[in-house]
Amino acid sequence: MSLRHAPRTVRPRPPRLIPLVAGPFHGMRDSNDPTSSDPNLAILLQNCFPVDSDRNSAVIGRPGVRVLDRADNSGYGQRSHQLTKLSGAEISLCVIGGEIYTINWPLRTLTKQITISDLAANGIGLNTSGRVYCLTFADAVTISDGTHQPFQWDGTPGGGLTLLSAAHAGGWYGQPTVYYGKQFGIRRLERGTLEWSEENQPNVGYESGGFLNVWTLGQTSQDPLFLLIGTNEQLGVFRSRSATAIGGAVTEDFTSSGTREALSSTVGTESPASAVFLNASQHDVAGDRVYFMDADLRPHVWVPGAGVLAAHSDFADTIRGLERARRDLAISVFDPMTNRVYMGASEIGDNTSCTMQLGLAPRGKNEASCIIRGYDFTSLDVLKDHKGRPTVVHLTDDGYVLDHGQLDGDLDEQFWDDLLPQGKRAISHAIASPVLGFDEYMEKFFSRIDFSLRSPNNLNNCALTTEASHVRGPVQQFDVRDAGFSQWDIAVWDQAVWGGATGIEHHISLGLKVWGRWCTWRLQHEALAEQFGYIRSQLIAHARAPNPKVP
Amino acid sequence: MLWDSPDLLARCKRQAMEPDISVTTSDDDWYAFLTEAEAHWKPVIAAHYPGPMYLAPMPLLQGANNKTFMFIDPDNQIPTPIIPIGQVEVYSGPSGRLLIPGAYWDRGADYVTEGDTIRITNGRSMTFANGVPYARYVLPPGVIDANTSSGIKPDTLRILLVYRALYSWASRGGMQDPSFYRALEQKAAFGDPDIAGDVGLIGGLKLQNSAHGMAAYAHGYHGRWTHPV
Repeated sequence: MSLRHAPRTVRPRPPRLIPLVAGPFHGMRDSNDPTSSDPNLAILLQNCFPVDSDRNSAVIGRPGVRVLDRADNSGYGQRSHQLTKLSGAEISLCVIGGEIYTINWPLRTLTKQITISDLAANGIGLNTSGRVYCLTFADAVTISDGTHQPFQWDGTPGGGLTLLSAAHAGGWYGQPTVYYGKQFGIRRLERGTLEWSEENQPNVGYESGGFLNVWTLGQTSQDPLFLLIGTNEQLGVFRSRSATAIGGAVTEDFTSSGTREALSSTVGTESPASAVFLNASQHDVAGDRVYFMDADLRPHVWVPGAGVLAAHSDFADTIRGLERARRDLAISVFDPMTNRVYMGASEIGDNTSCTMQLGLAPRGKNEASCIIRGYDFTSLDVLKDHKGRPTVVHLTDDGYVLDHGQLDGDLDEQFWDDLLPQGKRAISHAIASPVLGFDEYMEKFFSRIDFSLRSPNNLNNCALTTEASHVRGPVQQFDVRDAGFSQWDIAVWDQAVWGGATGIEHHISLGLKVWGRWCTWRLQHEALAEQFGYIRSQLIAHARAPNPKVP
Repeated sequence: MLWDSPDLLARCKRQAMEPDISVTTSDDDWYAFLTEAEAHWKPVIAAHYPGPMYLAPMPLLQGANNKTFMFIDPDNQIPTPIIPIGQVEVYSGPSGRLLIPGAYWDRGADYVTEGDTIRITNGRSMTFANGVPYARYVLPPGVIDANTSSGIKPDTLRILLVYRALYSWASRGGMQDPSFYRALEQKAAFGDPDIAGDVGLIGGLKLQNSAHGMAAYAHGYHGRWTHPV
């Protein structure tokens, strides 16, 4: 017995499916404002960043950090610096607890080279805590603690110390700089006055020995100076809320021949260590750039010749969480290996160290690239390891020196968790999507999300949370195992590498149950020794009838 | 186990192809869909051929003054009245005669039905050798959950529950086109018209038992056909 087809009835047409793609990203914008949402900008990229911020690209996890050694005085990590001697010798030094250590990279040890008594024997005073500022000048490093007269060390163990007795007796405020071959500093007790040495002579000049190398800048503002920074074209002079550039050669009549150009009458800085100078050889945008945090810890860029540009709008929400009262702690570094500027600051809380970094890609739009969290630091600099590679190093307030892993393919130096003084910690990767599918009118049901993830390893301990306009989905825990595709160029048919665990692209789909006019998601991954990566995702929305009663 | 409730759940999920890690449709949701499917299909199958789903003759529950008797769910510890589905056969005892349903005014008929109850016609009471009458009947559809399987027999017909559950699943919120699953359900139940000779599961059950009821004719007491007492 077979029955005829039932009479044809009006068949309702199912609602259209709307795929909502998030990524590939070229940066982040930490705003939940749905109307400014951009599918290529995540709301949060924590501890991960786009491989290439010029193009939309895959996001990869940051390398881990690990303890290199601890200073035997367990003192405050005041600063690290790379002294490259004219002979080609490289010295990675750390000022910790008022003493100078050097790093033995192959052995991963610190060696104390200059003790407090060595300094005292040369009439040098150096604070044992608080930040110091370092500058390579005339084949030695100038060290200034902002309290005592600065001094130089040429790298000689137990010696090579020279007190810069010609400089201001009260010491220099903030970071000294080099401009036209001369060493410049801000007088600590005369904060409107800068002084400079003779060319390549760190202890000659200033206002001693008959020289009159001083300039009190008070024409348009008599507020204290906070930062001097020399570029190839101009000397940047920053007060709290204004900035000036001085151009022209530093000659005997510099004070009258120097051309002054107002950079900004509203933007300056109170974080002298937050400034980073890049020039064309260090990144792929022509011309010099100076990145700095203003007096409200907002990133800005000074492009000599083009003025000061804001670079903080995509970090607006995050910056509100920074502790402005500790803006003196702020410190920045340019990491050429990841091609990003990292601006460290302290978040609101009971912190005495920096707790996070804003990552900016120094390209095109100086784009907000990522946020780094997971460890506290008092100093952040780029040194060179024994292979000559730029290596980010940070110090802690109790004498530890930690170096950061590489992304350059040297497997020996890649580590994907943080080996901190407190022990090994998984890196907390998080990606928050932009607001997807924003609409004032159409209700949607979000039923599924598919992730394309990028990692040579399995990804354990992942969690997804979703939030729509009026429903929050449950936390979904999952692991991602076994890549679906083979790694390029090593695929061998009939061997395990084909489509096996060596693959790099993983796909996983998750069923969702959230309703709303829009949806965002947050993907987290936190597992020891696992490299994280994200390529793109696709959220499926089913358009539903509009319901004017729902929020 | 084949065709038990976890098996039906697994079949639903396999067909729906939702992601493994999913909160879209919970197991409770699937069991709710299967319960609705049971409510649809069990009466339909019972109407076509209840045979495999009959209980053994069950004593009814005695009402007041031997005037009424109730059908009960024997699986329930506390006697719970139920309204049976499909044909009902009521006997005067486990080995007694068939009680004859009829109209309430008809003293020649034995009983009328009132939902979960039979009532002796014309206000009479009736006593039985075993105290109460016995009946063969099909239990109404109940809940399907992780511990309670479908009551549909033969078990193979339970695939209809899977297709019906998928139909409901696809229909909800108007999100998907459920006609695909509807077609599967129709073809499984009553045959695919594009396959010559395919009569479907219910069609097969009916063909297998095409003489269902004929036995009553063969053994019928002549006088009772025209002159019921």
